[in-house]
Amino acid sequence: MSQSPVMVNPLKEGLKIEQASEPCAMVVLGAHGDLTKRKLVPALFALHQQGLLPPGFCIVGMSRTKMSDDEFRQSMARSIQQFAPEIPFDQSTWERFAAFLYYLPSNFGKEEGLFDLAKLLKELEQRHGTRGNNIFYMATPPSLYGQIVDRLAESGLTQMHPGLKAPWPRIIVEKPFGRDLSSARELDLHIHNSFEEEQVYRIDHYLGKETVQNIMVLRFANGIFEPLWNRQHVDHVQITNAETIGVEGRGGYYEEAGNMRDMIQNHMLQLLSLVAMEPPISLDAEATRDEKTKVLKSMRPFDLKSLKKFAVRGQYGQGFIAGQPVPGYRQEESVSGESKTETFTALKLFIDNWRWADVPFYVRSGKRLGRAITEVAIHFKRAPHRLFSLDADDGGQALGPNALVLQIQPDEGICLKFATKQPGPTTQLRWLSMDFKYGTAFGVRSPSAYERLVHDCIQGDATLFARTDAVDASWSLISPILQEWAQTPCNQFPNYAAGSWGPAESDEMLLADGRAWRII
Amino acid sequence: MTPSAQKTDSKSFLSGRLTQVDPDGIERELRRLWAQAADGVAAGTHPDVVRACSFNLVLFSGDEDAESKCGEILSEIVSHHPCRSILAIYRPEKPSHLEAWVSAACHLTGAALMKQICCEQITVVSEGQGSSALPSVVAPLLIRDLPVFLWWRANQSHFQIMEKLLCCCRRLIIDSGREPFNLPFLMQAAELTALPRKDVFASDLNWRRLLSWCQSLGNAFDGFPLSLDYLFTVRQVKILHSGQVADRQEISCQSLLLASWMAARLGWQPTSFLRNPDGTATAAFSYQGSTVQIHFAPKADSLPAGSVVSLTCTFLDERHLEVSYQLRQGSEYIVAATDSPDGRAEELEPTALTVSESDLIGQEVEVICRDAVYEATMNMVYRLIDMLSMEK
Ligand SMILES: NC(=O)c1ccc[n+]([C@@H]2O[C@H](COP(=O)([O-])OP(=O)(O)OC[C@H]3O[C@@H](n4cnc5c(N)ncnc54)[C@H](OP(=O)(O)O)[C@@H]3O)[C@@H](O)[C@H]2O)c1
Repeated sequence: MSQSPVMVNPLKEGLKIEQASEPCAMVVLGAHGDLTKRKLVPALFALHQQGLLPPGFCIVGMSRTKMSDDEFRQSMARSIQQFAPEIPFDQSTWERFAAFLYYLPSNFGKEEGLFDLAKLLKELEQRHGTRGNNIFYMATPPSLYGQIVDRLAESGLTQMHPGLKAPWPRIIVEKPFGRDLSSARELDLHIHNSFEEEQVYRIDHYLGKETVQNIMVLRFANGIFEPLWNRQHVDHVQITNAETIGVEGRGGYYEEAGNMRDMIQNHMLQLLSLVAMEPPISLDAEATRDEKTKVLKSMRPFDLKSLKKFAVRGQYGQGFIAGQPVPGYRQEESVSGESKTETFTALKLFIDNWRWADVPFYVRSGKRLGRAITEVAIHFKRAPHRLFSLDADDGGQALGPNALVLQIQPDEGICLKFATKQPGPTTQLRWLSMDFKYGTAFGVRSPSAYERLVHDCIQGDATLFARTDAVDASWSLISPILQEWAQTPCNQFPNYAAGSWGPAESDEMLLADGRAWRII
Repeated sequence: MTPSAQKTDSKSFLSGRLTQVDPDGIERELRRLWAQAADGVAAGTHPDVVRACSFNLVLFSGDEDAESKCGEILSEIVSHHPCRSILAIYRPEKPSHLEAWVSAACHLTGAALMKQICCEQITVVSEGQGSSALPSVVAPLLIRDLPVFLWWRANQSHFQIMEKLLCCCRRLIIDSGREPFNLPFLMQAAELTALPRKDVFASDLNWRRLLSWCQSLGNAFDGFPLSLDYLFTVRQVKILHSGQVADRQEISCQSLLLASWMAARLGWQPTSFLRNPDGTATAAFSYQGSTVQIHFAPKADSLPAGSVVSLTCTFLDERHLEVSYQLRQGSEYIVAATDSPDGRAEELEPTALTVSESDLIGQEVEVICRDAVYEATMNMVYRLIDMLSMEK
């Protein structure tokens, strides 16, 4: 969103094409892993197809597995076809892409782990004209992040020449950014020993989704919503992230993380901050991130004495999804039979600022819920004077008649719910919705979140990446709950059936306020 | 598609078959067909149908084959860009006749391909009428509050009707490639671009066809193979267009657009534009005390007449950059290559060329504001053609 730092090429100015990014090499650390195969390389290939990679560019994959350049290329070609069938794969485009893919086996745990990398990057700088600019993509288990940063520094790969803007190193860090406030700070300290904050790109792939970016456009490009977007008109906000899938073979990881760390601390709070932030003074990366961070810093800390009124945890047991029986969480592979890990979280949050004082933000996220959906619903207050009897045809009235729903996935779109008169002699009301679906209005393929984010990093635009103070603020909010939960493990787990909408306490939390979760 | 009998049912309407309707009852008939389709959905005899529309597209044509050719193109467009499309056919030379047809262009979507997304396609044929009849049918058919694009898929001779249709349009899309050597047409397009009405703006499909060229040329100065500084040391440009010997006196609209874009972007000021005795033409520009020349010449080629075949820049240090059309494994590309100082040829990643009209229109309808680059280009086109006519 912000301007590219490179000098503007007048021939490209004003054309509906991107300004050039600076030449660079991208080093993928953990190139044999799931993330690289499923998301990263398909995204890079799609960028190549659209001509969005810089003219001087190459990719170096690294991980422990021994492979030649060609074996790596073949494996990546297979991954693109398997995991991104929507990207057209033609041999000649692939061959041109493969020509700048390289592989270097290495164990990052060992001291000499990155010695060969500096030499290879020098060589590739000559061959591909990458000008010594390097992006390091951390796609390894997070426990290795610290060591890798140290090794990069020891190899001289993180150095900048004083007073010069290039050549530059950048680092992309995958979530989780720590497990709690102290480990996040420790990781940050480690990274900041070798990288300046503006060189650090913390990926939150939710922010790369088109519909998430559209929240800003909807709010700030239209004059009609913003006047209503405050405590005078909004009754409450509901943010739902519901998955039907379980842990999908990543039980080991999930046991360590749990839903709060996996979804709430990052994606959900980032989403919330986009919905609640003040208009930034510009689309500049820092201006937008300043406003988002302010939201996170204004969130009311949880009162641990009455935590149950504000935070609900759940774990799924056996149940049915789409008519098929599915196992409970404790029966999943690599999960303890007595696991106390939460697979569902519901929170009631308050933002203590002028705009949102006393407006509850209800956030729920969970695995194995009734339907896969992510949405933000803004529930507006009732009309001040009840002229009409509200014996409408659905139970939605308990929530108030008007809701603006931003559907993030699937069926991305925007929907406005309002009351209208039923045709007929009596004044019977009915709730209708005005629906806008991206898929029907724009027939074009939306770029994947990784495509957008990797491209932004290459361009040096950090708008859609989490900044250190935002990460710190979200951990500050969440860590006390995690600690409290760790000290008081839930004995009722599993407390919701797969295919349901979470534990009863989640519904009760809203019921106590005279509200209910949306039926979706 | 063949016209079917009147009072078609919604099934045949949704299948894309044309239904003839009374020109003053088009909306009424559409309402009837949609209501019937909704009943069909309720009774379970139709799949779910979504009537989608995000803009109006009016395609104006006077061609003999407009019904079939334009109908096909519109169906392709709406599958990616849901809109109400109105095919407005005007043939004043024929015996007097006015008729209208409706159909739906549908495609299946949703997880199990269970939902039909449908767009309305309306055809209005006005033959042997004056220039007022057709706009009076078309204007009330436009869906209010949605953008209206007028695609002028016709020649200059019909321009008198354009004014009337422009009353209800926001965007005018012409195609100077239809008459590839017709400089007066391009001149008129330049005048349209400078329309005094702030709320209407024009664009040209022939310009959009050139964007891959512009992109490829621009990319070449992004550091590899050439640094940005090279852009400011261009001394000569040679643009070859596809043309036969018989066309040697002609300057192609597309070449002129490309040259004008370059000159406008780089701040070159035109000083002369002359036809040479050998049938080629040369435009001269001043730039920071130096002279830059652009030569226009034909080259026998299989591309459609008037299409740019290659552009070669010569720089102050005698290096060259050639951007050319290439067919590789059945796909069309623009490729930029340069000779490096050590004599090696350096080639840039090819840029895919967009050629189909439906793809080009698809790109056009995504542009919602004035295209300042195109407008500056057309301003330069105007100045150059003006110079050329003064030379005569
Ligand atoms: N997968 C996703 O969809 C996803 C989504 C969001 C975030 N993430 C994050 O992305 C990161 C990677 O996830 P993943 O799912 O791709 O993990 P993964 O499948 O386990 O892959 C880990 C990669 O790291 C390499 N590695 C591990 N230890 C190494 C060492 N000592 N030296 C060198 N290489 C080593 C592995 O190499 P070998 O296989 O050669 O041993 C493998 O290539 C994690 O931080 C995860 O939290 C993943």
